[in-house]
Parts: sequence; C-alpha cells; structure tokens
Amino acid sequence: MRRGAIWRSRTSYLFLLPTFLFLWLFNYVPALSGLFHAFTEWETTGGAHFNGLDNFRRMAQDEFLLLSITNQVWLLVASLLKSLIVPLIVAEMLFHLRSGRLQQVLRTLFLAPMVVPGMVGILLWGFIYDPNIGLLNNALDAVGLHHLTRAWLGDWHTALPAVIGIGFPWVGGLALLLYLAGLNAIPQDLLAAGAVDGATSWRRFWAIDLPLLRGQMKTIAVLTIIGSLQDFGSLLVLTGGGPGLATHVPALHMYFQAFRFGHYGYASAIGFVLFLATLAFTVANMKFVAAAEEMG
Amino acid sequence: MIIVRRTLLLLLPLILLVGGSQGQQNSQKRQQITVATVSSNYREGLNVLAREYERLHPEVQVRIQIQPTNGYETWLRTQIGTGSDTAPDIFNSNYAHGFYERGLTVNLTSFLDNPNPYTSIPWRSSLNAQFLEKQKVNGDVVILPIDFIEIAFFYNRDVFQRLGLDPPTTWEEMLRHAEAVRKARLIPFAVPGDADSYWSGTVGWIFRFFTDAYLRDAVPIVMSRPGDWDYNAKQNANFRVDVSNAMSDATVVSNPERLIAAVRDGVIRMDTARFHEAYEKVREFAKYWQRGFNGTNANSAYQLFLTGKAAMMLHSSATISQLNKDMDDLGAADRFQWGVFKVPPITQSRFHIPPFRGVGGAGTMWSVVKKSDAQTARVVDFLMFTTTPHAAQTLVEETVKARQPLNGPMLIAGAKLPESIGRHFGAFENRGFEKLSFRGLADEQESVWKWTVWAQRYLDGRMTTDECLKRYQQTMVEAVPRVVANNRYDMDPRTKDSAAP
Repeated sequence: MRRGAIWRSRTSYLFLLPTFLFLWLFNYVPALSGLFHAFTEWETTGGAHFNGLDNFRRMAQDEFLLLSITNQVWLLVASLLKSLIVPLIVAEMLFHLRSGRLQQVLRTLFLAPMVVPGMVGILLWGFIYDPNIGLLNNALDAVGLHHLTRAWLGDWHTALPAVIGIGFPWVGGLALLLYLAGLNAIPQDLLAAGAVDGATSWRRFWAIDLPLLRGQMKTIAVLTIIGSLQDFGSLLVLTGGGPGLATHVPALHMYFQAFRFGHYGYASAIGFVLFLATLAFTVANMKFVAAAEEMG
Repeated sequence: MIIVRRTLLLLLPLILLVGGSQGQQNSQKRQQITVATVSSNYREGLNVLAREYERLHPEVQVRIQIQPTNGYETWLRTQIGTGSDTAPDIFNSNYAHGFYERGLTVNLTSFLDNPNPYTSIPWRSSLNAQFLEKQKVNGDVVILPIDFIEIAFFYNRDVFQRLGLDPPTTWEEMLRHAEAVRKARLIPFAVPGDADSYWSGTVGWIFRFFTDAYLRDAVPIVMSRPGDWDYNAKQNANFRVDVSNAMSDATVVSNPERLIAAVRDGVIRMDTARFHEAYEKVREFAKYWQRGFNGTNANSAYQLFLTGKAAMMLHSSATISQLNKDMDDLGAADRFQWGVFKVPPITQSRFHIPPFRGVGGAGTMWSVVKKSDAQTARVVDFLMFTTTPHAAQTLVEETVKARQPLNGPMLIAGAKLPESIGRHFGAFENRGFEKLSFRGLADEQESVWKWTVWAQRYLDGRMTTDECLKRYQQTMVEAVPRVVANNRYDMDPRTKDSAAP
C-alpha cells in the first residue's frame, strides 16, 4: 500500500530528488567533512592527519578565540533582545490599528526592506558610520552635537555597540510576520472574554497576547541564536574584527583560520564547537520555553 | 499521453544540461588562455592585446577575467591551491604567495633567454633586470614585473602656500608643518587605519619603511654568505652598511633562512631600543592623523584630501592619474593645486638611521599556473607577446584613454607615459627595494593579523610601546615554525629548498 502510494507519486518524488541530492552534496557532505576534519591536523602545506583532541586543546589556549567569546555573548544577547522585543511592539501597534488599509500599507512598508540584499544593507551602514563622510556624524554636526561625533567602527569603545546598532530600528520582517500571524490567530472569544472582564490593553498584552505568542517567540529565538552564532559577514566587511579585537567573534576566527591562515583542521574544530554551542542554546531555549508553557 | 508528457518534462532539464555541455565542448576546441587579474585599469589594453593575439593565433582564445580585489587571494587559493583545471593561467602574484614553493606555478627562468618571436631579441631584453632579480623566489624567476609603484606624500599646494610652507626635507620638518596645519584647523594627514590598511595599505607602508630603515644594520646578519646556495660574490662580498646612502644594500642578496634563523635565535628582536624608537616615532606621527583613523577606509581617507579637509596623504604613484581625473571632475571652486614630496629622512635619532626609501617595487606582477607543458608553452608565448614595447605602449594608451589610473612607469622597455602623469613621478624615482621590513614575519598571514591587533591597540593608545613590542616579539617567534613549514625550509642556507622542480 505504502509502496504503491510512493509509486503513484513518483513524479513528485523525482522532482524532489535533485533538491535532496544538492542538499546532501553542498550542505551535509561539507558539514560531515568538517566534523571529520575537526580531529585532524590539516594545513595548506599538506594532507589531513588524525591528531585526536589537539585542536580542541589548542582552542582552550587560543587567547584570541577566548577574547572573541565575550563579544559573541554581547552580540547574542543584543540580537535576542532586538529580534524578540522590537518586532513584537511593532506587531502589537499594527494589530491594533483601526484602519485595515493603513495597517496593510504600514505592514508592506515594514516588510519591503526584506527584498534588499543583506550585504547592501551592511554596506549602507558602513557609509552611515563612516567617521569622515558618514551620515551619522554629519547629522550630529548639523544639529550642533559635534562633541558626540565618533569613529563609530574605529573607536574601541563604540565599535561593538555600533555593530549592535546596525539595522536600527531592528524591525525584522520575518519576526514581524510571525508575530502578526500569531496575533491574528488568537481566538476572538478569548479577546471578548477579556473585554467583558474589563481588561485594559496593557493587561490584555500580558495576560493573553504574550502567553499565546510563546510559540512564535521560540521560533524567533532559535533562528536568532543560529544566525547570531554563525554570522560574521557584516563584521568581516565593516571592521575585520577590529579595531584590535573589539568586534572579533568565534565565527570570524574560524573564517580567518581556514581561509587566511590555512589551518583547515583547526577551523573545522572551531566550527564543530560552534555547532555544539548553537545546538545547546537551541535545546536550552526549547526546554525553557516548553517548561514556561507548562507552568503557564 | 500524460506519461509521455511527464517523461518529456523530466527529461527537459537533462537535455538542456547535455546540450549546454556539448555547446561548451565545441567552444573548447580552441585552446584557452585565461588571465584572471585584479588590474582592472588594464582591462581595455588587455582586451585589445587579447584580440590582436587571437588574430595571430586563431586556434587560441584569450579570456580576460577581471576579478574584484576583495577576496581575490581566497579565490586564488581555492582555484590554484587545489590544482583545479579551471584555475586561471595568468594571475597577479603579488596577492598570494607560496604557490611556487608548492610546485603550483611555472619557473620562467629557462624561457628568459629564448628569443621573443614578436621582437626577435631574447625575451629578457624587454624586461627589467633589476626587478626580475628582486622578485625572484628561491632564486628562480617566477614573477614577471609589469609596472612600477611607489609611495610618497601628496600635499595640498594651496594650503601650503597659504601657510607659507614648502615641501619638507626632513621628517622633523614635516611634523612641524603638520602642527602648523593643525593650528589652521585642518587635518594634517588623511590616513586609513582599517585592517586592510595595516596589511596592504598606508599604515602597513609606514611601519615597513620605518623598520626597513631601523634594521639596516641587520642586513649583514641575513645576507647570503660564501657557501650559501644563493651567494653572489659580486653583490655581497664587499657590502658594508652605509647609512648615508639609502640604497647601499639594494642589490645585496639576503638569504631567507638566515632571516628566519635570526628571528628564531633572537639575533633580530622586536623588543629592542631601535624598534622602541621606531614605534614611538610612528605613534608621534599618528597624532597628526585624523581622529578615528582606525575606522577609516582608504576611500574615506582619500575623500578627506580631495575635499580639502586634510592637507597631506601618503599614497601610491597610482594616485597621480586618479587625482588628475578627480580634479577635472571637481567644480572650479573646489579644485586645488597639489604636489608630491618623497618620504623625508629622519635626522634626529639615537641611532644612525639611513634615509627612508619607500616600500615600492613592481606593482602589477604576473605568474603562470603550472598545467601541462603544452599549456605552459602557449601561455609563455602569450606573455612574450604582451611584454613587447608595442604591447606595453598599448596598455598605457588604452588605460589613459579609458581614464583609468596607471600604477607608475612600465617595467617593459620602450613604453612611455603621457607628460601629465610622468611629470609627477620625480618623488617616486630611484626608491623602493626595502630589505628588512616587518609587519608580521615574511608576510605569513597569521603573524600579520596578530601584529595588526597589537598595532591597532598601540596606535589607539591602549598599549604601551613596551607591551606592544613584547607581544610582537612573541608573535614573531611563534610564527617561525609556520614560516619554515610553509616554505619547506630545511634551515640550512647552503641548500636550496623548494618543492618546485
């Protein structure tokens, strides 16, 4: 019966086959290769040789990597706050707009930036932060706040906060969509019951919306954790991890080790640990939210 | 019928793929030569030469592939480093080192004395002997120098005239000028200080010419000696350090294993009084750079000079064409007169320091990727064609016509620069040939990156000179085994170590 069903749908399966084939070839094979090479000494000067846990011991003594972890923690916390809170506030405001037409227009405006390639946005922020010809410093100068102008990405004190500031006002399109979908899915009778009980908007937000949006928050948190730990593109382009190590993160360290220094085995080990960290954060997040749901 | 339609639908992509590859096979009947270059200024000239060559050799197709500078090194390492057939035939070898040592690029030495069929004289006669010698890798000619590039200070002549300043003749006078400029509420020097600048840009150049001058006394330690595989009595036997002459060691052959051994054994150290003074002088100089230089990229720094906000900038000879073009594009009210002065010598030091001599050398350099013997012969023939006086003049003229910058004078005999560009080259001439310049060890990338971290912190005022040099010394010693492994040195200067035959 089951075999018969597969045979009847063979065309669909055949259409899916190339996707799985390329997924295997370009996603799973390199990942498995990375896992294997994490336990090897593999340099540009020769082939890969098994070296047990040497790469992991080296990580524990790599002061540049260890320093980069602090930056990563700040970036991760900031990313979670930005992606969980700001889109939620905007989604609530949009949801409560009386004019459906205005809601639609504003929603489109918030989502439109999603079509701009990410790298274009990063380069734009590079122009905004430029200390000499940048928009931010020029704007501060124009309103008489010259004393606040900075080399935002070149100053040790402001480089990491400036990186966190990229994308302001941080209304992520995907998170906004998820929240709006969640708000729309709240049963009307629940809202009506709240209204009968005399719940204010604030009370409704805390007692009805927030508990029922936990699923969306869980999804957004997982995606943000993965994105934050893996992403180094903006740092590579804007700061190169500098000045000094002010914006250096483990993923950038992994990239440098592999593609600038030719330490492929060591880079694979860093990648493996990053994978484990991502997995651990994700599982912890799922468990934490699930436990909170049960308690709620 | 439905089954037939579905089958056709499934087969369609396959047919397209097969059809596509057959079409490709047809075009591959002509032998291909691929030039993958970042020298986009020569785009037009290279295309003209490629078409001329194809007319002479209809069986060959020449593909000029302009690559972005950003990521070029990584791209080369993945293309050439893996021995891929899709690797280019000719590439800019100054962007990635170490291929020859791994046997991946062609030793051109034996071809140099062959007659060039396009000039009927030996190929070597059209090339610059001094730069061929300078660019040798393990004693072999692997790199063809095409043009010359050097650095000097560009200055806003209008600002200098307004403040009653003449181009400085000493380092100390230049800093006094900088103070006068600052008092006039202008930025004395526009300097990019992002990570790229520390590796391949302005800040890297500054540290290089400083360490080159401050380490001149160490040249006898690293130069080849009798019995070394690369010893040349004519060039080395009578060498004595002469600090009054910036170029006294220009032709001296130094032995890379002696250099690495000197660092390994602490004979050359970074935490000495000499380095201490050199680094303090760089930090004193940095006081006159624009605020936040560590967050400034090359374009942003250039804009400071172009808009008259900064009075001076350290830049390469390639900027002459660019400045000419940009001045033409500016409105009359924004244009200014500009000039160039060479990096002036230090006159106040605890040590005997020779005059600075820049960091320049060959700008565009080409190397050939090793494939089959037939392909090597084909590519060398194309290189002979592109290094004739006629070809070099074509490159210059097409580049000027396209309003693209020229690095500097061509290193191919017989090519002449237009007067509007050539007249500014005085400050760049007879310079270059740095010998012992350090920002990392032997350009080994991990040591360069670590040095960049320390140097950025140092110039940012977050480290003392002693702390910075202590860290730098540690970085250099740690880099020794990696440099030895990368270059496959046996650390015996009497033997030539190369994976390449």
